[in-house]
Amino acid sequence: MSYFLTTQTGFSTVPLDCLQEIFQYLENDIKSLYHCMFVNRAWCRIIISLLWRRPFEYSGPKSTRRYSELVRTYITCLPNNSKKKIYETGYNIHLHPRPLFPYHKYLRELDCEKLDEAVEEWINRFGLEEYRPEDPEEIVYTQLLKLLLSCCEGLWSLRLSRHCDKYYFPPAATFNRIKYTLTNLRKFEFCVDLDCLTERGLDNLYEFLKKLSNISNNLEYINIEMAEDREFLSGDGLRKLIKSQKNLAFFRYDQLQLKPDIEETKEFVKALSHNASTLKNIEFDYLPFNVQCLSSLKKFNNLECMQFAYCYEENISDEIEEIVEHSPSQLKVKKLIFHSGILTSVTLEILRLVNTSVRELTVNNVVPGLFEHIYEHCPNIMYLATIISQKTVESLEYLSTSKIEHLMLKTLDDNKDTCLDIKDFQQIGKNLSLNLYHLSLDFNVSVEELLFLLRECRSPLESLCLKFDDDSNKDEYLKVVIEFARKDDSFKEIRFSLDSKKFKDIKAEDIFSKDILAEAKLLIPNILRETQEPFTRINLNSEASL
Amino acid sequence: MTSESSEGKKVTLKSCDDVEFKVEIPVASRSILLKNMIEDVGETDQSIPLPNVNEKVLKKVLEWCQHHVNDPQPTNDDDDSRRRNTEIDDWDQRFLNVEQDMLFEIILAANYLDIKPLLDIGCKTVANMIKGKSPEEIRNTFNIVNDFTPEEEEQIRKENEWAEDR
Repeated sequence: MSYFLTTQTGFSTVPLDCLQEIFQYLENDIKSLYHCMFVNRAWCRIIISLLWRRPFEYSGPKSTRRYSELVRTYITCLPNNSKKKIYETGYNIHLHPRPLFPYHKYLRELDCEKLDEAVEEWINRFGLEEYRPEDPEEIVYTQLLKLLLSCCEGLWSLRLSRHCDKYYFPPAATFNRIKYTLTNLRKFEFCVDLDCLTERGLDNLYEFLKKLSNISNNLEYINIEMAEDREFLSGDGLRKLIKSQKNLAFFRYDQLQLKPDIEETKEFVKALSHNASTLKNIEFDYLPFNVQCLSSLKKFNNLECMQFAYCYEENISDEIEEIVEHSPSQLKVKKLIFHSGILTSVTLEILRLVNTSVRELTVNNVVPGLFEHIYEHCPNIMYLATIISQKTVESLEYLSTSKIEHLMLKTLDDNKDTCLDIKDFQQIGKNLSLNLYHLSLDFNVSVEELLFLLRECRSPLESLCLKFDDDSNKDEYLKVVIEFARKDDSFKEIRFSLDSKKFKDIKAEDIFSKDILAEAKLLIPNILRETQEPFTRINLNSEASL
Repeated sequence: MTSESSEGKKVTLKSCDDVEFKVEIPVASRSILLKNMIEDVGETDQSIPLPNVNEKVLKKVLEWCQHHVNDPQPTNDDDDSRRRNTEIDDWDQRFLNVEQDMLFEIILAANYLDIKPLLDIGCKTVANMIKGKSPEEIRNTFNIVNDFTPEEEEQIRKENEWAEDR
């Protein structure tokens, strides 16, 4: 890595490490990085090392044909024996010169699916002359993977993911220097379609996972999206990897199969409990759960957030339930999210287990007895987003003395006639917490319903968020809120959202008449569009960004 | 953070052109280099020589330290978030609205004195000056000489074609 290293420049008063600092602020601005590369030799050397950290991210998507140009350069970096193998298999590579820089060394993030797509594009664009050679071992992909996994200066992020018809996984566990290049891996994603993997490929993959559990023990993020293979090897390998971690903070698990197996949920949660003290965020997607699966969760005493998305419940036998009941819980979670799915007794049991630790709760499905359970077990909840229905309105009374400051309600569907009537809205207003500052109604409410709700409300509301259907007369709503604001001195904000996404940039001036808006602003300083999506999930991948 | 015990106490810093500055310890301690020195040496009447920083630059750097004396000390955890944006607050923007030579000298001093937040805003300022410019415009802005041969430039262009602006 000596090319251009010694050249002095007109920018020479700034040391190279400061230059690197400067360029890091341009890391996501590929256009500027590209221009900086041609300023002079010293800049070029630093920019190249930044640009080639995550070239697959920068060069996507596939349609731009940049992938094949990237692979063309990587192929020039291959050792001669690799080039020879590729040439002898029938690909056209012999004309490539030696590169100016060891580009492969700078790689920090590798997504094998993108590498696969890039190789495919290179083969079709540059690699073939007249015929397509037999290539069961995918020689170009294998040699490049070998180069990148063996000869880079250390990966931070690795994503194993392939979804082609039939494919092979090379014997990556035997690649040289792998214990150096993968020691500091911080992010690992396993999104492999195992059904399409050849038998030898599966063995190689299992060996690779075992190797990873020996050398990559500093992972901060693991994401698993997979259906178990026919030999049950990958699940076993992944659980070994999970157990071997020292700093795991983010974990996501999604069983991608037609008939998910609750035993696998149990096994993974159990493996995960080895990281109970370091884990901060967990997400389970599309998994079957029952109360027995929660046993291992009881050890997690340091969670910021736990999410269940599209999970559903499976029954268990009575004697198992008894065992669960008697085991003490250390489970501590600040934020709990149940997004869609159909977990009911599991939701209630988790609320019992998290007890006073939970501050924020989102339950995006109907759970009978939810409010009563919150009252009994989770007195410290300050944020609640949940579904309200005629069946649960009455039990809102349990929350009237709660600490809830922020309440977001929605109905299961937007057909209000089948959900709530005027009396229900009176009931809601009457039972709102006396600590409530912010109320958000994420469903279409009629003017009359809003009027009845606010007339009964005794909360010191500061902010109200309403969702309008596109055709409603918004001025009438504003009049109701003005009437409320006259009685409630602390009230200072209305947020609104509209059903239709096409109005996403709309302002208050666009939906309210001038006069009524002017009158409202005398009492309510902020009248603005709601910019946050209600009932959102947390994206662990971006939370765990390196 | 200003500690009770160090409030009011001063330390003397000496620039490379022999000008002395009496500075309150919490202000000087914005520099990790000086903070560690002060902690190691303890209370002393002797001035601390700073052979890499001249009077003009040291005065400017100390102005920044004084303004930010109560800011929390940065931690290593901030590394990622620091890089995500190139925004600079208004006071800092005005502070760095200086001649280019002075800007680079402030960056050098911040680097030497180990004042991470000042180094950050200096680097951000230069990064903002680079954004959106062609190589030629960048060279003109910073008075940089192009030392590539045409062949080198061509090979770099070819090898990095995937990153080309198109």
